[in-house]
Amino acid sequence: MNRLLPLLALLAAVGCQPRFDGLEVTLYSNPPVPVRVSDQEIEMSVGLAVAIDVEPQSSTRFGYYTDDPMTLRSQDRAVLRVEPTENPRRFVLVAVSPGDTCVEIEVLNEDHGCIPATVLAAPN
Amino acid sequence: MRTPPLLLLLMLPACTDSYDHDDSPKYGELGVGAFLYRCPADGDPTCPAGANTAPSFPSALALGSQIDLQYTWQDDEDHFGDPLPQLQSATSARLRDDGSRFTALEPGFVAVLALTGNSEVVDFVHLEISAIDELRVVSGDDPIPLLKLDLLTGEEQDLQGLVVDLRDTRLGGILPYSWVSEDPAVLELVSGSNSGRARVRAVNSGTTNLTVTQGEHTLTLPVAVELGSNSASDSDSASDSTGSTDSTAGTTADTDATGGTSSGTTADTDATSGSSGTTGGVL
Repeated sequence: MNRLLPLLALLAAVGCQPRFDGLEVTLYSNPPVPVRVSDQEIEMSVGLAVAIDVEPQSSTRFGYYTDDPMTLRSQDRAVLRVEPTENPRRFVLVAVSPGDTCVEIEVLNEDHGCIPATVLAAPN
Repeated sequence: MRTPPLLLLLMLPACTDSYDHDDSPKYGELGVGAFLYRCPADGDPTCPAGANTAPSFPSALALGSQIDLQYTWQDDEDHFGDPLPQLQSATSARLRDDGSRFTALEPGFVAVLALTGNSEVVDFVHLEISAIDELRVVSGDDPIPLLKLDLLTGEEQDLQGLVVDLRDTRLGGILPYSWVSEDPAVLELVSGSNSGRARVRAVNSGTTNLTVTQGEHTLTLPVAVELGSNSASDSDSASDSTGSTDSTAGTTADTDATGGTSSGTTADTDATSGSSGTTGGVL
């Protein structure tokens, strides 16, 4: 029985952790031209900037703390920049030049895939 | 007599100082601070004559124009001792930034970001850049475009070149202009021959043309100068700081929102000079 204790402790610890289950993305600013921003896609016209509030969702009953580290990182900053703000859950997306890229999600130092992003060249 | 509350309510705005000339910034979209529009040189119609800060942002910037932007904290107490953030264009292909100087290179919307030293975005604002459709000339601060210029000898007149886009929106930004009098013996340029704001002086009676050029746009204003009875006093009064000229009659055009144009005649009145006239368009 004693030999099972560490295993039980490990299972208990894992069970008390939040499990990443997507992002809740909310537009914080109102860009002059409509944009499409969600945890599934980002589509913006070149030149625009938009502030978003992002909240990681958990599939367990243990949610994420507000100070759990979270990062959004663009794979191609020449197309789309993702910049931090003073608020750790708020980011500014900056559409730099037309093209496609992906925005990587990192929560509690774990990668959770990326959001496909398109910057449109169409005149605003 | 008891003052009705509605009357008091109506009186309240009249008692407040709503006509001050404080800088009116454009608040950032994150609400942390505000952006100020500066005119790096004389000639931008957005900045009043003699002022280097605009009372408000223009609806759009002229393609090819230059402006200066400055950022201020909305609440200094929250940011006491913090250095001002650096301003940066979202895309330099559309709006090139060189410190606080910005050059409009491509039509469309563009964000200007305020960034701290550790690359955090503090705030941002969107500007629109629009292509120039038409060149106009107005007298001083009168918004009605001039179609011709009538002056008395000795009289000086401040003229403002301005550009509008296809929507008839007045565009801001410093642009290079050229002002040429066909006959300097009739009308001479006193100052601003390559800026958006020029001062002309009626030298001798006669007629001539004043040609204004901005990029590929050219406007020719017919000028008629008549012998003035009190040309010396006119000349003196024209050198005031407001830039307004008195007893000056010019033919102007009223432009409606659809871009349609009708002509009228205006004459400005200045109580300080004692000269008189009427203001208004005659359709």
